[in-house]
This record gives sequence, structure tokens and C-alpha cells, in this order.
Amino acid sequence: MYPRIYINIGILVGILYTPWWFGVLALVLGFVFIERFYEGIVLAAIADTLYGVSYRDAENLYLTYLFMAVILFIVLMFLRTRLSFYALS
Amino acid sequence: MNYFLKSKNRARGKFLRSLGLGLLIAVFFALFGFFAPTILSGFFVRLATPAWNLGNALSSETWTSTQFWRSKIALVEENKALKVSLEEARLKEVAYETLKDENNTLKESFGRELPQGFILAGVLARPPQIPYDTLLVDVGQKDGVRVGDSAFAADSIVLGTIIEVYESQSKIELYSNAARKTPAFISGTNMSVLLQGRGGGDFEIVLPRESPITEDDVFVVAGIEGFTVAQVKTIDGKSTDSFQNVLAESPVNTLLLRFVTIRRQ
Repeated sequence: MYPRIYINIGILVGILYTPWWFGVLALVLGFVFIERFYEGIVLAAIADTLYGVSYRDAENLYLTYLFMAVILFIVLMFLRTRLSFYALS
Repeated sequence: MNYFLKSKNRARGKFLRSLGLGLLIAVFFALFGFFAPTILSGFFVRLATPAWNLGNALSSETWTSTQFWRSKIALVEENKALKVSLEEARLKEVAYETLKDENNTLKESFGRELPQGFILAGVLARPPQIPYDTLLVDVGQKDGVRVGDSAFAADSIVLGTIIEVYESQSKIELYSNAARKTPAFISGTNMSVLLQGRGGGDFEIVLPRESPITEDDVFVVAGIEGFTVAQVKTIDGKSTDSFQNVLAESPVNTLLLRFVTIRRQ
């Protein structure tokens, strides 16, 4: 359980300091390797609120990180029960 | 050997609970962001500012120490190139100052005041760290910054406008943001165009084939000051097409911006 906090700190550092694609990659890896990665959704929301343009209207909702995180969260939850990759780990 | 059979219902319940919790967190942030955007972002920006300041200080320090190890030949070459560009810039400056004086005289004679109230701001976070075309700067409400103020690089290149103001920080939306359309003129011809942001400091404009535009043209925002917003990069389109596609870019590389000026309204 203890590496989970380090991974979270790593992803947060990635979002704050590195180019955006590195932060996204770290977030994706977090979702792939950590079960029920709720913190990933929170981190994605933080990235959106830090960098995104205000949500002025429903047409221009800048929730790219959050949207990606939710999709990954749902898809990987389903995959976890079906892939041997997760059964072995 | 006796053992409990795995309950499918229990596993399913756990799965649904986890899914529900994840979605609940996402919906919470989305709704909070929609109804009270500045509260949440203000809180996170305030928390992250010391970290960004530290990062900027460290990156500046790292850059200085790596320069120490560069070869002498490379430095001599760079020195030569810089001398040449410095001379070019000096010559341009002479012309610029003359034009600026003339411009000021003309504005004064027409009874318009010179733009005032500029304040210097340090950039806390910039692309490519930020996927959206926004900048975070270290001036805010207490410095008199307000939503709608314009942000500049140098004193005549306009970058964007302030969209969110916190106590000591502000967020600038660049004109090149993909969701933004900026009315502008082609300098020289005074033809009105609508610059469509394309992200990464780029713009796209679709013009009729006959429109008089060349690769040396610049786009200026509407207003008496005529601040430069973009310069033409490429002009695409076949001679048989009715329209030509013009790609423009900001004259300033936002990736390297360390300071901007904010003009208070």
C-alpha cells in the first residue's frame, strides 16, 4: 500500500512541473497499475482547475483531464475482472 | 477442505460501489468547477504557487550551471551570431523609436492618451506544462488586476486576456486558445479578419482567394493602439480554390516566456 502515496506525489509533481504529456502518461500508468485509483480522478480534476479555462458555458467545458480519467477508471475497472494480466499481478 | 464459495453478488456489489464512488468524485469536481470555478482553482493555485516558484528558481539555476560546461567554440559561434542579431536589432530600434514618437505625436494630436497602467508579472506556469493555451502569473487582485485586462509581451505584442483573478495570482487565456476567435486587422490593408485559435500559439484564418495578404503581413487587434497579435506563417490553397487558408503564429514563443506585462483597464 505504501508505494501508492509515492506514485500520487510523483504524478502531482509531473502535473506541476513537466510538460503536459508527461503528466498525462503518469496518470494513465497510475490507472493501469493501481486498483481503484480514486486519487487519479482527484489529480485530474486538480490539473483541470489549475490550467483549464473557466467553465463559462456547457459548450466549452474544459475537463480534458477529468474526462480522460473517468473513461480510464471505468474501462480499467471492467478490464481488471477480465484480463489475466491483472489476475497474475 | 472447507472453504467459502466466492459470492458473485458480493463481488458485484463491491464493483458497483467502487464505480459509483469514482463517478461521484468526478461529478463533484465537474459541478464545483461549473458553478464556482474560481473558488476551487484559486485554492489549488494558491497551494501550487510556492512549488512553481521553487521550480522556476531551480530551472534557472540548472540552466546557468549547464551553460558552464558548453564548449568554447560553441560559445564563440553563439557570440558572433548574437553580435550580428544585436546590430540588426539596434538598427530596427532606431526605426522603431522614430515610428513610436511619430505615433505618439499623432495620438496626442487626436486627443487620445497613451496606454498607461502596465504592471510586470512573472510567469508561474506556461505551455508545454499546460495543455490548454493559458498562462499563470504572479500578480492578482491585490495588485489591481481584473478580469478582462490584457497581457503583453514586450510593449506591443498582445498575448491574451485575464480570465481568472485570485488574491496574488491570475490566469491568462491566450488568443491562440482553440476555443477563441479574435477580431483583428491585417496591418497595411486594414482588412478585417477573425483569427481562429489553434493552440500552441498558432492561428488559422480562411480568406477569399483575392484577399491581399503576403507572408510578411502581421495581424493587429482592433483598437487605436494596434497591438500585434500574430504574424503570417504560411498561406495554403490552390489557384483553383475559392478560399485560401492562412496559418499565423504569435511573434512570441510562449514556451520561453518568463515575464509578461498586464495593462490594467
